[in-house]
Amino acid sequence: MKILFDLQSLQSSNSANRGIGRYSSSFFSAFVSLAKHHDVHVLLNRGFTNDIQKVYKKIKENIPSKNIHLFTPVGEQSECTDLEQKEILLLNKLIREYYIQQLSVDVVVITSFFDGYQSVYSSSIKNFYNIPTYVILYDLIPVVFESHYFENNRKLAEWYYRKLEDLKRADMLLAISETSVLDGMRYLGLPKEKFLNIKGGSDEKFIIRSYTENENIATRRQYGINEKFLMYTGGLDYRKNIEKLISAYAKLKNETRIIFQLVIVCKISKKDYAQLETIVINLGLKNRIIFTGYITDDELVWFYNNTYLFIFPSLYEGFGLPILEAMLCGAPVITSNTSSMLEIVENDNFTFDPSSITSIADKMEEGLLDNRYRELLISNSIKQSTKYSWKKSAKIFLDLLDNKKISKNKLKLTSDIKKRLAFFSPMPRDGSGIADYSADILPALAKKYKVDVFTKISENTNRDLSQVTIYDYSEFNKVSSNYDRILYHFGNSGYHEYMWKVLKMHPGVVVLHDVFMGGYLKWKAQANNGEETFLNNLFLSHGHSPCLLDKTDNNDRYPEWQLDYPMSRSIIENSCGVIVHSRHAYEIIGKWFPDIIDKVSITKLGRSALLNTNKKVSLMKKFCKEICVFGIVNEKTKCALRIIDAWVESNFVNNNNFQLTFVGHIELSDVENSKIKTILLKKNCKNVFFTGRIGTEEYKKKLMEAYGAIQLRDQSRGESSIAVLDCLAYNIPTIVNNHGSLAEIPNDCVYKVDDVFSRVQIVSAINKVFSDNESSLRQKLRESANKYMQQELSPKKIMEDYAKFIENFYGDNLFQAEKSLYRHVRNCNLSSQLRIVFARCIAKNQKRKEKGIYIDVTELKNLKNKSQSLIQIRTYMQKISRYKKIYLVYRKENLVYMANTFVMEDFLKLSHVNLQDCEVDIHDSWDYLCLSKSEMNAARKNLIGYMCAVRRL
Amino acid sequence: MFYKILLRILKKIKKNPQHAYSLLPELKNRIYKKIGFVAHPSNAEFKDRNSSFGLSFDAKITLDRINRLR
Repeated sequence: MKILFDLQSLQSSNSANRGIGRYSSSFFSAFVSLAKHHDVHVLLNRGFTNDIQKVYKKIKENIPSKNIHLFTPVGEQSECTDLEQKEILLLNKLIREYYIQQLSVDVVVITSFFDGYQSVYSSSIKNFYNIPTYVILYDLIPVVFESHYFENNRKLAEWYYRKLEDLKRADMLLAISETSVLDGMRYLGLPKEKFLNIKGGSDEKFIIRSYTENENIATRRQYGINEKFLMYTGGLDYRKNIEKLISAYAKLKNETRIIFQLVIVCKISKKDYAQLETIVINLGLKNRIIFTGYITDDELVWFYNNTYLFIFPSLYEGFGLPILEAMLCGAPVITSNTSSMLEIVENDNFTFDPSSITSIADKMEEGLLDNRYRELLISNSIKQSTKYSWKKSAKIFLDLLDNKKISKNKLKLTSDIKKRLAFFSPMPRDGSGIADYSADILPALAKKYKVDVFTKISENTNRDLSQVTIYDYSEFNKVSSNYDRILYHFGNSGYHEYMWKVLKMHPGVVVLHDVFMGGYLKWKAQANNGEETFLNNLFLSHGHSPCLLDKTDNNDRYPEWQLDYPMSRSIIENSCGVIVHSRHAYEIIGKWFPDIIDKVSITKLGRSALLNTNKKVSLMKKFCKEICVFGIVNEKTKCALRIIDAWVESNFVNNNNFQLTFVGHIELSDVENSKIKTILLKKNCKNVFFTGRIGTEEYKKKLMEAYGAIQLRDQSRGESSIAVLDCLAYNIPTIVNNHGSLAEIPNDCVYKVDDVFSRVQIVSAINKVFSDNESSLRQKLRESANKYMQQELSPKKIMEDYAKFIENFYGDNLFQAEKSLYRHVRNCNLSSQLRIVFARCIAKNQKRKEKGIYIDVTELKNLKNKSQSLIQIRTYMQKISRYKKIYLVYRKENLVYMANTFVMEDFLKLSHVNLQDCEVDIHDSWDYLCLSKSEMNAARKNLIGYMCAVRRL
Repeated sequence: MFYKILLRILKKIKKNPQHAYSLLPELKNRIYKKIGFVAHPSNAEFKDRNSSFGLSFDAKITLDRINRLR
């Protein structure tokens, strides 16, 4: 079970150094030591920057740092109007709940709920997200002593009562005593089953121990203690009843007071000290009553061990931790007969009425002067103290969790009603392969969803598809709310340009046909003034790293090596899930973006198989058998030259019954063209033809007529080959190499050669597969391919996978959390300023698993001679993996910015591109490297609250 | 405690009204210090509240999405 402890109580000044902080910290440590079989996480608030490193380190002793999460609240509140203050409090609740929702925890334990009045502390229960929440209930003292706490502070009262209402939504209240349970039942009106008494414990340092004479003398001298003493420790507020304690001490017989001093151990402000000092002087008790001020825990143990009597006259307690601590040190304890204090001592005889000075004084005198009574007190302390420990408390809670089965609140989105799906894809006659694929699968998808197609409509677009209506994508903004699901088909070409924008605004499921988007982005940069888009995507996907390496090709602003980076991160991030069509594509994403690979699922590329195979046979040319190469004709990725080179060596080179036809757009360079001519001339080969770009109908005709196919691939980057599937679908015996996604086709459906093949291999494959003697081999290939297509790749089957993935992605917690975040924001009706503030804050609270490095160039940016430092950065870059993200950043007015302009001007020499420096959402656990010691110190100050490892490059 | 600080600073402003502008941030910082709230990077948000200039990648997308809801 994933359990999140909200430990803001260790950060807030209200609770950190008081009982609540001590309780939370000890209970948490004990729980972690016992709950090895659970996954324990901690939530902290980055808004409390004072001791954040200290608190973080302390928690890190118990759990790994990856389990400590810091949410960032909306910033300063005082600069807002009253109205905004309210909104900010609300937004902080929303931010906190949204942040927790992203963590997908099974249960949240809030360790201090009544904290955060007018501060960045934020706690709420199910205001926005249905997160199972348990709350530690210490007490409801402000309600019990309502007149005292709220009389002059209506605002505080309103706040407190609103919190009480909130508290009722908790799944379970972990009360620290029976008194807290009863108070909870009484003031919250909740049934007993909603409470669990987890009691309390005490630190192991509170034990009976002896001290040397020297230690005793030193401490006594330090605090001016001359005689035996009785003591009190705890807070100083009204409820603690200090004034009555002093009055009761004053009521003791003079002889008793001469023997016993009263020591009041607590942190005390100057104002309180002055007030109490006046009372003490008025009663003539100077030097008899000692105020120690703040003391360390070790000193406290000395006081407990050496006191003659411990007295705790509080009017009301949720637990009363000092009583237990004193008992553990073997001190005789007398206390009030109210609330939880009676629970701990469990004997009326050892308590008094705290409202009566006489009652207090009488018990005090009995404890000090009656030895038999004192011995009874000591034995009671020893007996009672064994009943409490943090481990016992933690065990009570752990047993509850172990016996409770909390169901993961992953949404189940099944229903009988057909959901409406917006389908974004190029459509046939646009000239994109994905368009034909989309048209092919749409009828099967339309059986699962009510599909409407959104595309960029042109004159050529075929709008007569059955079962679906086609709209222009520009209409989607107006009607987006009508759709339950959105599906985008992304490819590496300009046909998908509009989808980049729509996806940003309307996240949905993405079918990623190409993992590498460099081709499209380069086209955009060169043809459509899209240099910003190119660089933005490069930086967002891979940081500044690709630009920092000294490889810049002067002839091309976006040289080939830059296209070696996928640049598709923003598509994956903006989607709610990604479907790819091969394991190869999946592995490439895993290598480049391992932190978001969870969002990716694999299914095969579907294709309708040709059902009437006889028709194909009849159409095949009888006298001239055509061996086709389908798809774009080039050498780099489609091996055109190598195919021709093999063809001229094959048995069919001058056979008039055979011809080799390249069916598709020709992308050969002049050099490649002349090489082909030379090869063909040399062998006097006249049976190689090129069709150039042809229409869909003509393409289908070629598929019908083809006798065989050769489909070789090189440098594949995860894209799926529709042309090869077309060959299989049209029953064409096909030769492929074992490369990329082709390797995933079963061996009996195609004739395979090695990934890195030799000419001899291809020649022998051509001779074998297409020879007249091998009709049985061809028949076998056809049959297996047909069976494979019908059983494994039928659109019906693939669309079942699609629907399964789409529903899974939409049911994902993270996606749903984000979707409802925007719903809640809409209800908040924020001003334009607050919208910006909030957007900034949300960005800082997005959970990212990504890892990377920041390099601080604050000083370097303004240096005239940078060459030395640039070399230093490059040398460092070359040492680390190219899969690691690096950002050059600089500091300005407490913020950290991305040095985009610096990278463009000093590394890429692109001063005309208008890509601004933007704020960095600092990720915890990234490294932050500085070029000098002084920068390192300055950066540490800037990064207070962030858990980055700041060090020198 | 807040009132005390406030009074002290208001007195200073009364003496030298021309310094009022420079004293107000001091007041703010002292109050923060008292409530244990120290300025950190995210707090600079209010410095330039009317402008979305320089927002991070994520913040820009979030703002666009929030604005779309209007």
